[in-house]
Amino acid sequence: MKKTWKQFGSAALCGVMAAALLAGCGGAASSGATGAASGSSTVSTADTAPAGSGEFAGTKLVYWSNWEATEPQGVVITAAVEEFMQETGAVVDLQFKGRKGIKEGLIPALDADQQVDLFDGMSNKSNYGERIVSLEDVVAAADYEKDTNPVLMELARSYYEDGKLHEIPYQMKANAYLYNKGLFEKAGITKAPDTWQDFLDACQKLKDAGITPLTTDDAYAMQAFGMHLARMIGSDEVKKVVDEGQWDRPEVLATAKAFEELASKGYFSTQVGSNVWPTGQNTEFAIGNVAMYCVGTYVVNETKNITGPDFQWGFFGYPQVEGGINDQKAMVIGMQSFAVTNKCANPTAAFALIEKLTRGKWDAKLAEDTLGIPADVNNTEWPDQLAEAKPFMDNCNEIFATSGGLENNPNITPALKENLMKLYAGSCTADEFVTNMLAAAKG
Amino acid sequence: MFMKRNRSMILAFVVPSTLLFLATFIYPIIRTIIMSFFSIQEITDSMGKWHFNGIKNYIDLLGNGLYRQSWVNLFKIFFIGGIITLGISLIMAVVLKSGIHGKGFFQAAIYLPNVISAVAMATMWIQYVFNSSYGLFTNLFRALHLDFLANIQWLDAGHKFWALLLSYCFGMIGHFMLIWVSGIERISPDYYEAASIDGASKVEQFLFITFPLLKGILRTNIIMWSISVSGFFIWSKLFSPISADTTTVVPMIYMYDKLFGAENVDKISRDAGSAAAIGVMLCLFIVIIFTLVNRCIKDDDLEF
Repeated sequence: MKKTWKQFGSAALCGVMAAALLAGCGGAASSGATGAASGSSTVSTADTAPAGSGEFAGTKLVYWSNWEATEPQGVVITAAVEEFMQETGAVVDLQFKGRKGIKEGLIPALDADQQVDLFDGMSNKSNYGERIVSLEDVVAAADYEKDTNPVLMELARSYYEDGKLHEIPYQMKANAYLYNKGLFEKAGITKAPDTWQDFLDACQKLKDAGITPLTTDDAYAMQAFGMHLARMIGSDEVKKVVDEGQWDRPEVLATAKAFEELASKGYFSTQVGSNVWPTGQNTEFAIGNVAMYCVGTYVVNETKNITGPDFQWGFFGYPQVEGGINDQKAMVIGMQSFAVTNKCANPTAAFALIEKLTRGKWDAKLAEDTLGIPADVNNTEWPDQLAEAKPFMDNCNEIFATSGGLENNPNITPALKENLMKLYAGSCTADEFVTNMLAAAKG
Repeated sequence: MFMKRNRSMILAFVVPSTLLFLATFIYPIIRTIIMSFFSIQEITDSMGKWHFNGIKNYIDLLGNGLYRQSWVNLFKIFFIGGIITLGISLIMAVVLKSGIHGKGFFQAAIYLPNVISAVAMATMWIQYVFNSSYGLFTNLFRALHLDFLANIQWLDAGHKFWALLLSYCFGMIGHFMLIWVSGIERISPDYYEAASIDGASKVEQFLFITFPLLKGILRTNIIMWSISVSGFFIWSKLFSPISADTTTVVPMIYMYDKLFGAENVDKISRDAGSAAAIGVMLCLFIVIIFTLVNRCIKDDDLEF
């Protein structure tokens, strides 16, 4: 009898230990799921919500953001969400997941039936498939579309086979040449270049004034070359070049020759070949050693702590090239966007929050604090740093893919990046560039 | 009777941990191997969405130039980096155990890079050591009037791999040095004393006493190095941020891009099946190294 009790006691003790272990694992797993493993932070907006009787009282929304809570975007979004809760009575659980958190964690979370009602992040969310819903109805009901640049709405629809709107644009960007107006003035350049010849003239004047005209970083090496090629053959044809290995097209060689000329005339920084992002952006362009950098308008916000308030920002669309098929009205434009998931029980409330963030004062605040481009066309006051980008975006009638489509094949991008950096550094000729790319395309 | 009671106690303790081990280690391994033979978009897709495609994932991967390049880079890191790291760490361990002054300080200083985040270390190397306008190497070689060295652009396409390897090995030397030190401490000083009396030099003592008696540690270090190298990711990511680079791409980087999809493309494609196949190949890499090392390096012929 005594032995039986001892055995029972031992077994019970082991059972409790095992249960405690499993409970520990279970607890960790669930907190990991809601806390978003990869360095996310949750702002306690849900705790401060009023028990109000507004329009969405009793509604709870879980919002995953791809920003960090401490970034300017995160700070503005937090304040806007708090106001939304005060006004509508909704409870919003705002969780800042960062770019990686969204990229790596959102689809597994949705597939595990975790509640996430809306999220933001890079545009083109077509890979989410049925996990995100069409917003056509809520957009039409709110008469929302009229206040967004129509080209961007068209771009947002173009990502989806059904041609419907699944994402709402905000935090737009335009890619082309950002330049230092102070250095341009010092070199006696009074007008930003419109054509390739103007561009070459500007480079020469800068060089004559002892100023390095151009630099780039490895991560952005594809931008200028891609836009140049897209000027010649259009963005769709550029994608064919990279997808089908059409590197022997004469336009590719002509584009490579154009950059070979820039390198041979000494227009690129002497260290361009070794620039690992953000070295060129921060230590050459932002500190005022180099005049031009081909990148997106987001660089203004990224470098504001280096440039300070006195940096005179300028922007011009990629110059028109001889024999090209488009002009500066065709350009690379992109955006961040919001989407609503199929887990959302109240898409109207989720869209109301999106509308709050992309219209009126909060959209203006986002643009002001992030030195970005407003989503609401009625917010006509752009940050001074981006004033020159506004006419280009307003007049845009054709949108190029990122880098003119030159990054469309991830298998070829690394070889392309390496050879472009060599071309810019002058350590490879245009002919060698074409030969190397043909070899890389054959695998 | 005691045996019987002990057996039930052993079972009671062993079964839960065994079950947990099977659930958290064996199941994912088996699932990954099975996944590698299927076409799967998302890692969380249910099995109903999987499409069997035999060894196509493996064939496609091996037919891809960038993927093959990632293995070339990995083998270069494994062999060249291994010789540098294990060689220098062994020399340092021997020097530290030779009775020099300030042994504790040097041991801590050499190990220090291991307690600093890899992100901080890589940033330091990229931004402050290799920078070709104000970097440490540039300024140092310029001060020494070694212009041919000062003019090297450490991060251009021709040198980036070597810059990556140098900085990675620098951080790993301390870790392996400590393991060598622990092995050297097991060797009785009597051997060295007897060898000294017989007139053996320090070099002879190292070649004929220390090194043979460290064969077991060498085996451990090679296997640990292969595990570290197969998981090589963060250094490569920091040396080529945003998108991969031919000179620094490794299988883990390729796997990440396959699993989570490359950005800036029309159609973002995520391919968990191919990512699983890469995982299986990396696992095989370690198993092969483990087997070869165990076959080639035997330490059971010496007792001390």
